Amino acid sequence: MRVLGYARRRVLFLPVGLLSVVVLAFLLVNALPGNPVGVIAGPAAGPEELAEIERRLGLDRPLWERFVDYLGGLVRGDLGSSYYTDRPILSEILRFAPATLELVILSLIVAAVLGVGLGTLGAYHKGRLADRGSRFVVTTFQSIPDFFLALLLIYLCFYLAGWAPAPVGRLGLMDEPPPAVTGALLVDSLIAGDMTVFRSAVAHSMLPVLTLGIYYSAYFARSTYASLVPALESKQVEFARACGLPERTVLAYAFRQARTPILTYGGILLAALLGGAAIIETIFSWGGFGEWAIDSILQLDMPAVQGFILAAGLGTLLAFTALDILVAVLDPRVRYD
Amino acid sequence: MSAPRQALSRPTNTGQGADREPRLLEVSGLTTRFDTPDGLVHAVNGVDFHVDRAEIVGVVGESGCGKSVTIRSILGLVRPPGRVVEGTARFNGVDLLGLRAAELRRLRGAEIGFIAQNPFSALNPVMRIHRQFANILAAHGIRSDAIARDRARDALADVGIAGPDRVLDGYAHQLSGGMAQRVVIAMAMLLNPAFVIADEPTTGLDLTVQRQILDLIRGLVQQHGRSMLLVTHDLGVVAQYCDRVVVMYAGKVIEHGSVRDVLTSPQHPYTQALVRAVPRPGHPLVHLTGRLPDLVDYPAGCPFQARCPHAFEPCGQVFPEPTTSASGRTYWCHLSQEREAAR
Ligand SMILES: Nc1ncnc2c1ncn2[C@@H]1O[C@H](COP(=O)(O)OP(=O)(O)O)[C@@H](O)[C@H]1O
Ligand code: SF4
Ligand SMILES: [Mg+2]
Repeated sequence: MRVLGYARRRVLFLPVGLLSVVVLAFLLVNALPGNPVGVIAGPAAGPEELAEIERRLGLDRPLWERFVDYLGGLVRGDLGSSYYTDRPILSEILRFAPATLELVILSLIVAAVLGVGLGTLGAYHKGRLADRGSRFVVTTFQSIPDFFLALLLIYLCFYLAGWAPAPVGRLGLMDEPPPAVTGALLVDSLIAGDMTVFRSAVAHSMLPVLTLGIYYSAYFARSTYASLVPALESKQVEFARACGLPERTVLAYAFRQARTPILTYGGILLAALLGGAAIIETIFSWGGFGEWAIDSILQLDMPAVQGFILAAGLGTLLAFTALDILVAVLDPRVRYD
Repeated sequence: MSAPRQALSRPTNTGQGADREPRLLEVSGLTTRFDTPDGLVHAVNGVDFHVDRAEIVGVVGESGCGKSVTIRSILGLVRPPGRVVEGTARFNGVDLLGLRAAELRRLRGAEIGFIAQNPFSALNPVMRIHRQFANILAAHGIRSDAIARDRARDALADVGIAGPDRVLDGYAHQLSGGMAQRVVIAMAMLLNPAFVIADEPTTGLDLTVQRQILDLIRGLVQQHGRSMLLVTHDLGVVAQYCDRVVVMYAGKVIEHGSVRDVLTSPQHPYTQALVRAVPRPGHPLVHLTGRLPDLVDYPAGCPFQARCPHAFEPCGQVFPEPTTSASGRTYWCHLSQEREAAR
């Protein structure tokens, strides 16, 4: 009951959070330096041409009028359309987001398993060889830039060993994509029952997932280590041992104490990766959300940038809300009155 | 402090030699160090003492003198950077320090119960009390949840908790301090151990509750003929609840004996200082000044020399030999030689 009440309040708060995301998306973009008109028209355009483009894009009208228009559009599900391709932003988001979500979720799973494992190993054997070994691995993972790791993995696993397919996107050039249901290829190919495409999708995800998984495992390892060491030294764990509990159970007790910070870190990483995987997406021609956002920003495609901020903001909002509710479910001491 | 408890109605087993039945617990030469960045901390330095059957032994000494580390060493709970470097702790003749981890684990909880200092930091805050009882029983081979529930109910009833089910289905933070400590005691007694170790079991509780808890523990110990090692820094508690007492200073035992001997005629200047610091009618209150010596740069000779009003020449050079009286009281002080000579 305690948790249900809290969950309801958190969900009721969502619209307020969403409105601030909308305002933020609008203001950030409209306060952004750079004049899209000049970029669109090109260096050779004359003043009349520029004025014409400005009028067409609606940029000659006052800020508040544009905001009201924007809000009205949002209510109708209209996020505007790209300055360049004229495609509706909403359908662009729906096209790109699933690819990124698939990548980010798989990467986070790999990162969490690897990182929590490494962090636990180090924390449990604190001060001993395993601790130093784990710390060395984690430091190495963290000090290699993610793009470099991607290139290294491509070089080793594709170019030299030939284990992985070429980094040409989510599928091979010859593969026929399954009919889009969720937009996530792994899911859609399973729905279509097309195992050839599924295997190809898995093979193509391998290196980008491994890159992000390895890179971000360092963060999980550090937060696991940082929260598990004090948990293992706590009076609670000492009492558990004094009662004769086996080490397995003792470790489980320590984890129960340490899991909230680890989970919180996972949530933050999820939010950060929604747009932050852009470089890796670009390297692997992933056709994802972050890649789309970077392109839009470089082209000053303002409706697209707005759409990106809105979607990423909404994703973050949902992730944090789910996380807070999860933490409340897991910790009976959390009270919110 | 009132006069020490004189009613020694229970046998103290002093007549039993090591040649007949092994003592319940016999600790000798126990030495534990912590290898910290600041240097090697000499936390416990050659501690000897014993606990007999059906006996309550108090361990006193100011904070930081090594009481908890001694207990942790006996139970095999010292973690790196700490290490037990020397000594034995024979429990029914078996050296606990020589046991394999799994064997020692099976003794903990089953034959040696542990009552922790602060129940709220000892109990798992995010696990229902029932599950914690069940885990202890499962660790010792009792895996049925229904049996676990019955055993937990009985254990809670034994510590005077009237509605055990409500407690079992709840969490630690929903309990009062006294109730939570009762739950910890119930866990320590759950598997009917012959020996109980309590590390300052009433710190942080208010005075009336402290009495109730100590009475409860003593009752549970005496009813079942158990023994207990009771760590405290309160001489009043020692006087009222213990049969014998071990006084520690800077990781060493400096005096031990029956409570009556040690508290009415303390021989070691540190014990004398502890006794003088307890308010008693007709006696001036004298507080001990100064601090424990640096445990990293451990002093040669007697560790108490820097604070001792009687310190003289040999004190800075060698640690004194023990002096034992007919009643079995032993203390480690160079003054004993002077006293001999004066005789
Ligand atoms: N994990 C540790 N690392 C370093 N030093 C420790 C550790 N645990 C205890 N010590 C040191 O051992 C000494 C004895 O501590 P303790 O046994 O807890 O004292 P007390 O008599 O108050 O129970 C103290 O000086 C303390 O600083
Ligand atoms: S040995 Fe010396 S310093 Fe130590 S207590 Fe006795 S008189 Fe004092
Ligand atoms: Mg202590």
